[in-house]
Amino acid sequence: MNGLDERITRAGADVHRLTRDLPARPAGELHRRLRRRRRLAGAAVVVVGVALIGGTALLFTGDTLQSPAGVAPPAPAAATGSSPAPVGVDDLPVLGIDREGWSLVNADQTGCDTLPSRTVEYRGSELFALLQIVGVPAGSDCEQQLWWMSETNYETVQVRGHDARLLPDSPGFVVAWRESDEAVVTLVVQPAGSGATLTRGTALSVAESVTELDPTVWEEVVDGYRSGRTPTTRVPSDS
Amino acid sequence: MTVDEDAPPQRVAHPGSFEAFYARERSKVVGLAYVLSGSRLGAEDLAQDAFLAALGHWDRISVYDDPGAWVRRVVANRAVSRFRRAAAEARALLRLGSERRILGEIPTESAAVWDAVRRLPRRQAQAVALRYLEGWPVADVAQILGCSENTIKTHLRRARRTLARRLGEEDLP
Repeated sequence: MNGLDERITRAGADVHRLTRDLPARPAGELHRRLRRRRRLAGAAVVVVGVALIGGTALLFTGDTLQSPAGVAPPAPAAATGSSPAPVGVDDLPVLGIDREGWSLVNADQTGCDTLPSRTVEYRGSELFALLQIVGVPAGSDCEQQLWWMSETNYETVQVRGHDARLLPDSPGFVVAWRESDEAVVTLVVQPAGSGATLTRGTALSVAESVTELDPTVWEEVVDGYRSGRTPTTRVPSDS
Repeated sequence: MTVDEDAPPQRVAHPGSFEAFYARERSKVVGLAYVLSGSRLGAEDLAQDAFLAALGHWDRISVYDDPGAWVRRVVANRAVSRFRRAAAEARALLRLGSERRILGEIPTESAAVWDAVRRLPRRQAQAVALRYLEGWPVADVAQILGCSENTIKTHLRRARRTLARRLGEEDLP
């Protein structure tokens, strides 16, 4: 065995020791996630089916041609926030990243296991950012647990006028802050190129660039993405 | 007494069950996710996502010669994907109501080795992790990554040359 083999063997043994000590995570958790995912998929099929049937019915009855002039059509769901829940997905702020050269590559509204959330991924020429907004009521137990980062190597910073925590995690940074009484925002910033480095200043600069998107833009970009009409690039599936 | 309708029925895991498979493979797959992603924060979630995918297709995957190879292929691809890795990190960050889970640290010298591995081209890094972390034979590495054995041998040879240079070690043939 030469020097390289010895070093790799030692490095492998260290990883095995690390993961062997990891507390057991029950398989039941995976069963629950799978059931939830299938329920969501089933609900989505029902919604699309109802929409198709409704749309077809409207076409046949001609209702779409009989709207009185000057009456605006119903606002899209994302803009109206009609959910009766205290903190529903539609109640969450709609955020984007206001930097030239970014393109949206993915969007998801069911990214968090139990809480309403929006997840948006952006790719720039040199950086990648994953923005997640989660509905967490202020002062709740959930909020306290969200700040588990307090026991790790974090740095307290200010982002958009809010107290935030900056968590360096090679090769990028995670920035988390509370944007409103209902929403906590996390932003993962990573360099786009392999082996590239990222400074904390750049990560904070991206976090400062998070801005509210006009609901119309959100509709066009996010819903367009879902229906395959967006001009942005979709990340190819790699599994 | 409350009943969790989502909870799976309690049962003893038999050797061919998903539960037994998960218990047997979990820590090794987390290790693979860690060395390829470099993320102590997101490694476990990357592994969980791969196991979740396996559970969703368990009827089909369970009859494979080695379901573990399928899971490793998924995790090897996802761990080197910047997007998947970041998503796993964000989920780990946002996991609420559960205990904190972040992998500990490995010695600096070992961390440097895996850091050098991650800076290799994607396929080379995957081949090195499967071959040297997990000890899979070249033929199995080729099957997991969907390449020929000769391709894997070439990846490993080039990877070793690069690693030896970067780590200041001599790599004897």
